Amino acid sequence: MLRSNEIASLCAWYDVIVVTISPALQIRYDDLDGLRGQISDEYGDWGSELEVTQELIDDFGDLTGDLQWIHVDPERAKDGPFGTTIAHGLLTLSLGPRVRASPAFEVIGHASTLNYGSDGVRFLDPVPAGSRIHSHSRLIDVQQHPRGTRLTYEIAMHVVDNERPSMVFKAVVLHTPPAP
Amino acid sequence: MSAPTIRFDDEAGLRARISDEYGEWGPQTRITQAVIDRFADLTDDHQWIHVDTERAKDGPFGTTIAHGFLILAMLPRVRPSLGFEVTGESSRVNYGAESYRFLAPVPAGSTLHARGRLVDVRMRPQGTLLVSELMVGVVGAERPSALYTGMLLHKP
Repeated sequence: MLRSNEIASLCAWYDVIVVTISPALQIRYDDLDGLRGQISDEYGDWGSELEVTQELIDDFGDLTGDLQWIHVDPERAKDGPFGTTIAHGLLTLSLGPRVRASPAFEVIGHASTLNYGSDGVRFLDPVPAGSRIHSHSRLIDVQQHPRGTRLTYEIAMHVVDNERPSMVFKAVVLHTPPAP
Repeated sequence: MSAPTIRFDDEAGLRARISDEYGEWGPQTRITQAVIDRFADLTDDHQWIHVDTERAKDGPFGTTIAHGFLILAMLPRVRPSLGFEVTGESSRVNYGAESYRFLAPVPAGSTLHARGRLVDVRMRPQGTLLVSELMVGVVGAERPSALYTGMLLHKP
């Protein structure tokens, strides 16, 4: 168990998953039934699109030291399995927040939102250089947690017009209660 | 001394390497503010906790910290040896992760490293899936920053 001062020190880091755009519906972070009512088999609306340029891939390769030809050598990749360079899996994952879709509801009343981690990431189809990506998401789980309320969203990222997702990702976030 | 080699299709040989114990710490990389700033530009995440060193002085950590996804993005730089080399495959594909958890922040200027262990071997029609648990941490810190259970597909 974490002590309350440790909880405070964990607050506010990686507040990246949940958007602050105000949707119509607001649900308190401790209204578990209300939140569970939002669990759905259906994905919500698509979010904004982003072009994954070769420049972006090169920059990511440079930063992370992953300079495999399949990512950064367009000449060689012409004869490779995809006929083109493709984005790194971890780049696709890192771009998740940038193309995230607005949820259909807003969680309110919590002190902070922590990026807790993930219960699964699958890279299913490549993201070719120059393609545009977008994503949609759905709430799949709501759990009470010793440090607040734990929500799990499933996010599917696609190349625009590709039916098969490039990545399916279960994002786990924790909404912590306000200090008593 | 070089690590022993095991063929990607030698299921028994690979399974014998499944362990509860982590291997040696691997290579280190420094997470400077410049690295964090570049990642912020790449991902368009410029929250003050990551990029505003002045404001972060009064924040919860007294300093800026790396983005969670930046810790994961640095895996290629810190990927540790699991004590053996896989040979004979045509290519390796990042298949995904079974799970990961962010456990502690990585302050700007700290040095990251990782150690790992093999947790499962799955023979698939597309190849051999090796599942490993990587513990990523700040050098000198007791609590790890992230635990990443990743899957690499070794293709025939």
